[in-house]
Amino acid sequence: MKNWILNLTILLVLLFLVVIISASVGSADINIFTASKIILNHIFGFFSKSWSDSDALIILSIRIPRIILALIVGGALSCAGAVFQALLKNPLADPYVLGVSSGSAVGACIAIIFGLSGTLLGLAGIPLFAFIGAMITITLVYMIARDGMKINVYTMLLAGVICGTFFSAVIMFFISISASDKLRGIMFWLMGDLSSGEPSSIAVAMVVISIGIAGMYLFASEINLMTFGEESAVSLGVNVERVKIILFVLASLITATAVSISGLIGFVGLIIPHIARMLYGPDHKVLIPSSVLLGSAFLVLADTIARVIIAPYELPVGVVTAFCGAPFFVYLLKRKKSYGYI
Amino acid sequence: MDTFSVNNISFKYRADDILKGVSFSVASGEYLTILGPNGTGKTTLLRMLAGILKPYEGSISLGGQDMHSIKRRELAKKIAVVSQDFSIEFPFTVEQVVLMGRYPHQTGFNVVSADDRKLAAESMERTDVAYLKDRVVYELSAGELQRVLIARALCQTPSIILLDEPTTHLDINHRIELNRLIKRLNIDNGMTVINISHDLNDACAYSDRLMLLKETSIFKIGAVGEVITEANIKSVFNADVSVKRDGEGVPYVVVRQ
Repeated sequence: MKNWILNLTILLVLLFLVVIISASVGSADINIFTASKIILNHIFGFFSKSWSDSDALIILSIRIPRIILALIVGGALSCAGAVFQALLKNPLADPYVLGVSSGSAVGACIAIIFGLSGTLLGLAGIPLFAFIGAMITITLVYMIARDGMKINVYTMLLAGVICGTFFSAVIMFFISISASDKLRGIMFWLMGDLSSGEPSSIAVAMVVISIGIAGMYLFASEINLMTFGEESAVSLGVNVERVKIILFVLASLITATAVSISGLIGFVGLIIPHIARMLYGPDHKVLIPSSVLLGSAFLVLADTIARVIIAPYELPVGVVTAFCGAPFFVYLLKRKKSYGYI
Repeated sequence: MDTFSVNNISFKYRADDILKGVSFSVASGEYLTILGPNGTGKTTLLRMLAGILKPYEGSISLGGQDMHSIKRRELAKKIAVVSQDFSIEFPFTVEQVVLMGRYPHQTGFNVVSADDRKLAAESMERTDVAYLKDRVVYELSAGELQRVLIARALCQTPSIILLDEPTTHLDINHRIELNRLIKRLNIDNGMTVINISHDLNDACAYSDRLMLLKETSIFKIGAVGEVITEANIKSVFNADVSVKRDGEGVPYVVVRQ
């Protein structure tokens, strides 16, 4: 337990460092100490002002909102990935395994192509339609997999794959009929894009995702027991059917929320839980918070790279996550051979 | 005390009867072994006793209380199950797995207490897996894993332990060790043992009573000597055997050439 508190502290420090670095890097170069002073001053207000107003404006109004978006999306995807891997007992599961990605992409495509901009609960335009698409998919998958009051995880997995395949076909259809000026928007969305988050949708997403993660964390012990098989968990006193439904709903909800405001950022939700498991072990009481923190830090870092590496242009962040994530994952696998499945 | 009383239960899978009109009772502290050919519903019966499956008809009561009115966690404090349905997907250590047996006793956020750790250490000591404490569970042999699962069951501090063919994949040495361990739990702790086995001789050697299932119902339940007869075995298993008796009068079965 002492070890765990130390590790948690290290992760938090790491996360803070990544945030500071990300805030200071960009077309306007701001000294890393100035950046940290501006941020700390904004939170605690104990530094005397030694920076220009324009620096403060760039950091607080432009870079920090985007960093916060990366933090919550990275945390949400990693947490959902960890929970799906445990529930589906499948190391290849990720937040998109139940087709949430394709469903929300269909919603986003429709919004982009038809220039729709409805508003609901602070979500506007593309995020709103992406969220609706994701929720429709989740409902559909749940209805297909449901057998009375029970759900079978393998049926659910198959239902997710089928729905995902179907919606991918719909996306391809939209891409092939859409005008070329809309195509770049769709492609960017499909590869993940953190550049267009609005403060109001970021705030809504932050609330939903925080509640979702906290809710799943309450079931950390039950998740541990359920990884050994449902009957085994039942015989230890877990109300498996109820826990399963709660976890599926929460994991899907935070995935849908993250995808709505950021598009499809791949790889984070698959590899971060594995990395966290290699570093801290499989106990979900430790795995969930460490996945959240590692995922947040990783996505902030990836987004920083995405926005500076070919400046003044930007890469979709999904390109960076896959590009850095895959080799790093291979390195970890080779280094720690005693680790599980592969 | 926690006496099982099974009243006329049936179980169907789709249209097929798995069990039909099964009634018996198991006294507290008894060692009962369930025998029978493959597909006679032994595991289904054990799952119903564990409260995992609900009988299609009839009822099971535990200590005079209808089992399905008892909360899951309360049930898990009384009954531990060591079943074949155990898959290992993630690299938990032996100690972590054994500690999971404390789950029904923990409240709130299931914080592991010092007492839980002590109990886990004792359980691992008793099943001789303490030296494996920090090993990852999927590195274990079949015999080691069975002992770890029994340690987890002990950690639940149950009054009843249900086992589904615990010795099936074990070599003779480990089989004997595990059988002795289960017998010690029965004698020293007064734990009720209900065990499924395919080994007639082990069943004779360790059980107080035997239950012989044929097709969907109980063919015979009673003392070892009454159940294990050449005629019964011929009738249930369609196997030709000779039943002999050892020095203490315990029957054993020899295959006829």
